[in-house]
Amino acid sequence: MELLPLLDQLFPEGHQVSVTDWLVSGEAVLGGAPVAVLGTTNHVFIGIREAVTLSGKLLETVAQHPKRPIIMLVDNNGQRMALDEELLVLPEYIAHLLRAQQFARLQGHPLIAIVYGNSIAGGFIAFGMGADRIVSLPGAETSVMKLEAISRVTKMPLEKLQALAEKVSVFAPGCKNFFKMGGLHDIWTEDFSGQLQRLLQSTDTRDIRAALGRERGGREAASAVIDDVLHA
Amino acid sequence: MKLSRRISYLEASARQRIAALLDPDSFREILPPTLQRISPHLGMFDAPVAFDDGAVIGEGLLCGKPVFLFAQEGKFRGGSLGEVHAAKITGLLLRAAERKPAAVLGLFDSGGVRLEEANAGEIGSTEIMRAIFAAQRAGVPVIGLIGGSCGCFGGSSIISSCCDALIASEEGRLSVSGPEVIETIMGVEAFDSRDRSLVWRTTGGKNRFLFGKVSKLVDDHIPAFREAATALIAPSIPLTAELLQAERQHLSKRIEQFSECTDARQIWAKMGLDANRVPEMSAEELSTAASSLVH
Amino acid sequence: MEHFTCDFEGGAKAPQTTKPFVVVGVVASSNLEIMAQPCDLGGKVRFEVSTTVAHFEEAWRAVFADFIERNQPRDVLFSINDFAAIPPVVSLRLDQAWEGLV
Repeated sequence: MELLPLLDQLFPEGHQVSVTDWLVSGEAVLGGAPVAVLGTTNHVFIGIREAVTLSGKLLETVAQHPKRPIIMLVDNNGQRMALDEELLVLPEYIAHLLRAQQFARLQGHPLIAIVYGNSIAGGFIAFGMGADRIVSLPGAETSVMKLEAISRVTKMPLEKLQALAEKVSVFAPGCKNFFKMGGLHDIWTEDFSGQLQRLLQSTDTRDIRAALGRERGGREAASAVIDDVLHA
Repeated sequence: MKLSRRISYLEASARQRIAALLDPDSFREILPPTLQRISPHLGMFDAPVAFDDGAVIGEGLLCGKPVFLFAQEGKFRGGSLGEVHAAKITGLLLRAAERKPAAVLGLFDSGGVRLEEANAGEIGSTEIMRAIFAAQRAGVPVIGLIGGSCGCFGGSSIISSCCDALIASEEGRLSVSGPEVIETIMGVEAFDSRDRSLVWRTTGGKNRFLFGKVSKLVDDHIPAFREAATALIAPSIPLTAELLQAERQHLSKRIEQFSECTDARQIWAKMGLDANRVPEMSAEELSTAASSLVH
Repeated sequence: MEHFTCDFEGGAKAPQTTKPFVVVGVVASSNLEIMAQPCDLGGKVRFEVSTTVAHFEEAWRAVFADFIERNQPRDVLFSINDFAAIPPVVSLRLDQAWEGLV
């Protein structure tokens, strides 16, 4: 989905969101109350600079607007893949960004991630999967790795892999698969503003994704394993 | 000079590492392999399973202190995170948040998410991260150990970077994308993954230690990991605005200072070290050299 | 993948350990993991095998028979995940597992 129409549909009461090269940042009104808007666009790769910019915006929101909901708009092509990024310890930057999200959570800010573009692997981990609730919109794409690459590494012929992907949701890209696995709390097809308002009213900070995966039949083992370890 | 026999962390299996790391006979495994909680998905790929899905979890003592522990078996499917493997680690961390041991030790040895279970591994990785935050919020520190042959890549690299502290040997590697992946996608000029010296300079324990991400650099010797882990046990530091701002400042400054560098040798020279000697220096020598640097 | 189970008459030596199980080896290429558990089998020894290499059950049985001859175990369950280990490696792991139980 395109970003500017999305902003209008999410926030019909009005928004002041600036969009630069890759950064989406500002605020909007939803159900009469202000929300913070933070995200990425143009299928950016999330690297050390993006992580620090995004964490700065998060920390600013926490400092200036107590408990304000933070709407995270997700569109990335994964982590930045470059020697000089890894050289300066890219995982540390992504962890820092996740810690900033956790800090916002602890300070009482609901974190809602809306995938409207791509959401890939390390990029999705860095910005998106750390939210309290994660939803997708029409046209969104979630992915860990393309089937061609999975085929190469697992040595299963692509056609066989594609056939398998029709029956199970555990490895192939796609929002339907991610939803079935509990990775997306919901898939929205309409009334985005209404859905977002209702979500904000019902959200909490519990990580319920394993239970969702079990209910939906995509991830039937994880939830039971977690429970059994807790009660052993 | 070490007179005792070297007990290689790199060569040991996950179970051997646990046995040598913790106090003798103190480990009590949770969800032991006798329960055969195997991967529900590998059968579709005609791939063999492991009774513990490549992750050993449990409770034990470290120099008398109660600790929880998870250890990835790097020799099973590259220590990859599958549905059950990840759920075991998540469960262990949530258990620690409730029962509050002195620490959780995480023995990382993983190439990342298991592709046959890519979505489960990916989501599971982030459930582990949320569970680390839960443990830390309860005051329980999570201490990561990196020194296995698979290194710590992909989802595991981010998980480990959320830990309170990391211990690594120079053999350990920490990186989001593996050099082979960067080379495949960006070309060999971007990263020659067969240049071992380059790989270790870039992603290895020494570089990560000199940047401060690894708190303690140790020899490839399990007793050295044990000693370092024991010394690092302290309550988890709560997240505050000051802490995160300081962290962000530190990371921004690193970009400013070193963004022109295209090789670790340039970084080390800029830090004031003898860049050519760094690869040969022992953990102790390098630790001494690093502590005398002006930051 | 091939899966099969076979039982053998055991020898005179029952496991002495209080440990509920022993695991040796890892499921890596050319390797295998063997989990040994003391188990009341009325004096028998049971092998449950999952292997990536099909059609070699006879060879496995020969290795098991030799192992029993060598160590005289009884009342043990051996559960195996094999990834194309050669017979000498299988024998080695069986001996290692048994050593952990006695």
